[in-house]
Amino acid sequence: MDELEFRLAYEQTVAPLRAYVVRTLGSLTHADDIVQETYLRFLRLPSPPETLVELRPFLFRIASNLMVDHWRRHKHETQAGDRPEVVSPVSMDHNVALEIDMGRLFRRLRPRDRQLLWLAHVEGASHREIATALGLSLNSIKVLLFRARQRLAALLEQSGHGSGHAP
Amino acid sequence: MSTVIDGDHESRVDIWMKRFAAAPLEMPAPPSPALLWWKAQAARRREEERRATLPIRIAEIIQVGLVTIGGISLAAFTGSTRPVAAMLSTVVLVSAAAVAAWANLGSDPF
Repeated sequence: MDELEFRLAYEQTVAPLRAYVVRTLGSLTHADDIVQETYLRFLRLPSPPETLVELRPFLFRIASNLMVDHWRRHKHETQAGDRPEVVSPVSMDHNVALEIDMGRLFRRLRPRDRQLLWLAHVEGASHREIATALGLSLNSIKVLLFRARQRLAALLEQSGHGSGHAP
Repeated sequence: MSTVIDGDHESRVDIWMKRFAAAPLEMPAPPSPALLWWKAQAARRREEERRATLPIRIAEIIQVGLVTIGGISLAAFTGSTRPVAAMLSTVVLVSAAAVAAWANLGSDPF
């Protein structure tokens, strides 16, 4: 892969990958480190995937593994305070307050649930793609996703977002 | 009944997740691809250099070991009436020099 090819691949993948990592991790600083490391690892490969269809799940897999490593390293910090860095808002209007509220609610889920829900509902990934991205067995995805949905639905209910309309 | 509840959960979660994904975020510009490319190339060069100098570093460790053994035995057997012992010490020292020469054979001084 030459520099131009990399630039094209990067421009096509960085926005969704970054959104996934920022929202799932809840920390912009760490998210950017992880995104950067994802591309560096990708560039170190002797034979990287060539098409965008192959590349995208591949990058999500590297990023997912890096996030799991990050959570393992910072496990005690997160458990002790549950105070991940809040992504800074654009301005303090209603939409932003809502975003912060949604972000907090999402971070109350387990890290694995956040990854599963983001990949399934935002990325629109199939069970097979999710299994590949998270390094899990295909059979377990359906059950894990069902439980993650249940947990998020319960949180939405508890926090008054249960109607499914305006939160 | 449970299917209805599951479907209800799924659609509610789906709506919420899409709203969450669409919510605005202030994020600085992502790192430039040129910078990442440069970093990757620098890392690749470092890795190649590390691989190329690995035999030299191993040989250096062997050399130090051989010189130490040879030096100690030479000191111990200097003036000894047993020439075989002194000769063995010399052989060890010559081996150390041979290892040094071998390790440097493949290295490019430029």
